[in-house]
Amino acid sequence: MFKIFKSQSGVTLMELLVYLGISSMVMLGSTLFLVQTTKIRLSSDNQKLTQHSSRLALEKMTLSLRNAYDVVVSADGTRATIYSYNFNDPGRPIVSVYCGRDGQLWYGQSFVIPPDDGALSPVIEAGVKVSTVQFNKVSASLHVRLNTVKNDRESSIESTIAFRQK
Amino acid sequence: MRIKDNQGSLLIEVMVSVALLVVFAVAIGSFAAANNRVIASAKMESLAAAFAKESMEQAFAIKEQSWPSIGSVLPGNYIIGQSGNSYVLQSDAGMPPGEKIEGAFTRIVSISKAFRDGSGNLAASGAEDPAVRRIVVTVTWQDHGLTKKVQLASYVTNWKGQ
Repeated sequence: MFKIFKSQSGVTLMELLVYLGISSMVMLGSTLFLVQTTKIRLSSDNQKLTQHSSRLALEKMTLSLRNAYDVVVSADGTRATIYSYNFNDPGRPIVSVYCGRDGQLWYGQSFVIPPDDGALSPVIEAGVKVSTVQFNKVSASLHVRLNTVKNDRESSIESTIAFRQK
Repeated sequence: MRIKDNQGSLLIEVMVSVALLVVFAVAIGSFAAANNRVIASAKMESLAAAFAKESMEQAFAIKEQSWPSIGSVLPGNYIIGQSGNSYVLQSDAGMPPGEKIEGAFTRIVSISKAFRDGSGNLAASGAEDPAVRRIVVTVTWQDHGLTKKVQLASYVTNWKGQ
């Protein structure tokens, strides 16, 4: 048999202890780093999700306001009713409703009269909570403040969306 | 207990190790600092773009409510304020001009006349079109000693929805 290892004397107890100590420290450092980066990634994902949800909601409102000729905002500012031209049937205006309640932003659309609250559907995806919805009509524009929360992260978006006025 | 070699490291070996460690630490630190700067700059630019867009939307909302509110004002710099349920243009006589936002940004809303050339196209000079005004919103901020800006330019007209 060939002689593969030059020394067969093994390692001393001290060498083994030093090796174990150093490798433990490296392992501990690596694990802490992994845990921390995972926490940051999850937190960042939550932040991105809240921002993404808010942007999608604002995009939807912008589309609803594109051909609006009037907007009525409730006294507490949590509900906006948008009246838009119906180019297919001018006698039947399109009425869209955005309403913030129960930690969600609700949306519905109908003709001539606003849709019932029971017919509204959620705009923000499940898991993301809507903490604040505040509408304010200023000149021919709708000012929107939308805060969304997921776990430890919150996103706050304000936007002014102009619309056509009759 | 038996340790075969008790000679330890030479001073030069320690110095080389320390030097290498310092070089790596500086490289990683510089990378992290540069990364943070890029993220901070991107955030400021996003905010500036949002502030510029906000003014443009407000200007559009003013003209949709009442064309003379924009069409009849003298060319110059303005600040868009709110009076009751309406946005209003307030003359910006500040030196230097501009509205300070969040202590970091300066926003200037500039309104000027619009001109059409012989073919009826909007141009830098020609015959004035009284039904059109040019709006330029400029948002500036300081970023590590440099002045950065976001500028949006658009025309508003006395035509509904345009």
